[in-house]
Amino acid sequence: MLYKTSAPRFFSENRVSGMMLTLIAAAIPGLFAQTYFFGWGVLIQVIFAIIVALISEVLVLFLRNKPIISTLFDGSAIVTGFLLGLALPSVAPWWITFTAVTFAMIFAKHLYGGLGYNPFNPAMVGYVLVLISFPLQMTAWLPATDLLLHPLTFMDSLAVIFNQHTANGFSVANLRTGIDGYTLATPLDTIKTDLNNGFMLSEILQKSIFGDFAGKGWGLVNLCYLLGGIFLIIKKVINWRIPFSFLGTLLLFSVIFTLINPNGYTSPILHLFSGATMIGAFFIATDPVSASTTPRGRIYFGIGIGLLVFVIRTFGGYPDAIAFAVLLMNMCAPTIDQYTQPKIYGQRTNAQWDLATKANSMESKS
Amino acid sequence: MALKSSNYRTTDNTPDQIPIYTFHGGIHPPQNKIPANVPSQHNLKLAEKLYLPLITTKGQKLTSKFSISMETPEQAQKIRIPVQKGQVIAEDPNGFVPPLHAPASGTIIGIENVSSSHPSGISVPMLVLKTSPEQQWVDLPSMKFEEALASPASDIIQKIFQAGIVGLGGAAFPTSIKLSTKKPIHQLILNGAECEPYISCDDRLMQDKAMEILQGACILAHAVSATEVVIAIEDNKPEAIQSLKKQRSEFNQTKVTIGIVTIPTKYPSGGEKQLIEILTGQQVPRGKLPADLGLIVQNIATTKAVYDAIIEGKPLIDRLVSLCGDKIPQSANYLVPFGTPVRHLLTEAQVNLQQIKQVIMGGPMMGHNLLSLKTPIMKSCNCLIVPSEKELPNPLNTLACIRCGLCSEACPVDLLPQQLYWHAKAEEWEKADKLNLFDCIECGACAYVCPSKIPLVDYYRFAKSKTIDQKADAIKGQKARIHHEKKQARLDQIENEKAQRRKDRAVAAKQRQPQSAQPEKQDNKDNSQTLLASNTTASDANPGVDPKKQAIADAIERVRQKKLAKAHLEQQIPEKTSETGETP
Repeated sequence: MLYKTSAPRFFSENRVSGMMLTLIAAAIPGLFAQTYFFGWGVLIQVIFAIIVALISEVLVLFLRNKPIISTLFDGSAIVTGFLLGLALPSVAPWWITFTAVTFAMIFAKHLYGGLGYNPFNPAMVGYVLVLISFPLQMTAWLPATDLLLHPLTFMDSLAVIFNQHTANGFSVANLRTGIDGYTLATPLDTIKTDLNNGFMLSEILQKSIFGDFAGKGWGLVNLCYLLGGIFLIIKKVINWRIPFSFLGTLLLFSVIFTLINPNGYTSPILHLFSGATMIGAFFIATDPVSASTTPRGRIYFGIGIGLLVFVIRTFGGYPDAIAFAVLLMNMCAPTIDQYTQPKIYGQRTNAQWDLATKANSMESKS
Repeated sequence: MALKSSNYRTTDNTPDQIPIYTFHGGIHPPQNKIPANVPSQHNLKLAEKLYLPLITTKGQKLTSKFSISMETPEQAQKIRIPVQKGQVIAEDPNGFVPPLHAPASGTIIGIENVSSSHPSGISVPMLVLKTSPEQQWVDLPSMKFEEALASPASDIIQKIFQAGIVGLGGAAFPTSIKLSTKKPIHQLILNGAECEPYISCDDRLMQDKAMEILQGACILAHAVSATEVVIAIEDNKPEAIQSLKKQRSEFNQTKVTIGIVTIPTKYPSGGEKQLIEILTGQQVPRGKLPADLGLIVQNIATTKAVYDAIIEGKPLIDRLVSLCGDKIPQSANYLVPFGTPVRHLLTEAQVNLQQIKQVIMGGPMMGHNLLSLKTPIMKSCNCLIVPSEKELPNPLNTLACIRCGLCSEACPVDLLPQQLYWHAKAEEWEKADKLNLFDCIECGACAYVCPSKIPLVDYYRFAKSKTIDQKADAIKGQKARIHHEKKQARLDQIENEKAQRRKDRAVAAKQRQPQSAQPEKQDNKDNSQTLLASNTTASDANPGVDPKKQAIADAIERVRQKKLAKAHLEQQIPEKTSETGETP
């Protein structure tokens, strides 16, 4: 007649699915900004990636004999697809997105045991797989829409992604041509290539893609992600430690190097507001499953990512480095956790306690 | 530790205005303290039968004061022992647990196994007391407040023990033992935080019995020679604070300063160590007691019980119990005599027993479910909740831990609950122990905030009991080994002594017959080759003895040697099994 439940019987309203949905909601302004500046392709990639993520999740859950409905709606698959869709170039062919998402879901997530057990950020594993395997397609970023010689309609974007050519017969390579006839790259890519070719930063920044404060479109997109991230911190979906230590480290090193040679290194503003910095700091590095969990550990985790991002962007072979930095720090997370356990109640030094013991020892001496 | 907020800190130097600190983590669950504003029910109809456990929930055994023999049904039927209200009916032979008193006049009609209020619902033997219509107290040795403050502390502590007083906050630790500390105590803290939702018995007590509590506090302070009393109350109980302050202004005494301190509402501020941190900013060092900081913490209901025991001479026989939940039409705090079955209490509170799905003893955060309605209310029970399904629903499906770390942010002990869960789930007890599993106070804050709705506390309780078992096994094994080694050493010593005695005898014999030894040696050699080979010492030692006698003696010696060797071998076999038994 009487049944047993376990204590406590009160629960907060907090749910995994709720956290995931809040995360997506916080990224929506960024998604809109990105779509506005870089065309419909962004939105198409995101939706396609989410669909693929959900299908692969269902497939694997079916194969693993796990409850499908409850797991599907924890929202984690949607988040993985969503972040991957945002991270991939907007005109990348569909099979790149498909490969990245299925690899992320099946290999990076479910082969390790599913949500909660994956040591690596699944979205970033999928991203790095396609980045290394298909470098040509993965570096084919479109510049901001108003710089394009052939502006893309929604149908054009769809055709490029799924058919490689627009209705007018333009390929991705044609599309990337700017109004001035040059093939355009991302701000970070441009700076990297040009600095290597002996240009000075002040010269490079004269190019058309550096319209805003951190590259045309890129600055505002990053600003949107920054605001979304702050919303997440207020909502307690993510903790401030990882993003702030990451951004702080990146800022510190870029300032130091700019002070050494203002024309030889990417400026702090470009570091913080170009590329995937903000989405990486607030939406990717904060993935709780694969990040460090202790308070101090999270600081070290963020510092590590900031350092790696700076080093790879400045001295490495890739213009951006969020994915590599996050994955490398994912590897370190268990070790960081091991050595950064907080002091528990009663382990802290106690002034009163010290006094008491001193008094006692005095007493026993006398 | 940062100061909480300026509201709680002033330059004013009254004892009520002390700096307030905060502890790590904590949560703010809904309060639902409905009975707090309802007058307490003091005239609950006495149950027909009271059940008084002879084993405490901590497993300590009490022995009945009466010899009750229940070997045959006839004997069992004949048991009729009249008792008076307040009479001692059971005692702890070790003198650790305070005695148990009859909560009502009546007759003891036997011992029955009844489901106890232990979380497991395990059945323990309980004295069955059939109550009589006329209630008659035993003689109560009353005492004036001033007399109490003049009497020696040891007398007070002894009286508190005799009155059966234990901590009424839930732990039921004997109050007298807490008070008998040898450490110098400067401050007595009265824990009126009552931080757990639903529970309001201490709140009600502070509203209704403020003067008794203040006097009880003075007596407790006197018992430990403390000069300061701080009563800490969460700010969600303004009436209680008001009532205590009003009574304090009318309370005429100069021995101790009494501060009534308002603390912010946050669960679990009523935890002893958390409360100390709130009030002093100090943490009780690990492995130490509050007394090491010169502090002692007592619960409000306990303080009231101390007043009753010392001033009115009444032993602890009843307590206020918060009765709440959607299924209870008359939510209130009931004064319940110990031993009252839950069924009786619920019936009296007009609860429809047919509709009950679960009964929770204790609060919603730390309480446990009762398995039987026959279970009696005992000293540690402060609250009974009979919820509707909507009120305290079963949690939704448990999802995987996503290591979000909200639990470690909520943990008042600063543990890493997600790591503990990980190890507990993997049955890695030692790793969990290394992450300070045993510092967990099982407050449930982690499970409350968990977005995956994992019953974390269950995992910790399980891991704790497993670790305790494992450690007990290890100690047992070690003891067995030491025991065996000692036995072996004893056997070896006996053996050595025997050998020594033989040697001595041989030497003595040699010295006795030095001359006759020479000529007869030749005969000896002729006598028996085997004899020589088997025991040269003996043949050398007894050269002058008759060879036949010698042979017989040798044979006896050989048999004895064999027997010894056999015994030795048998000793070694159990040793091996015990060794393999240790490493499962």
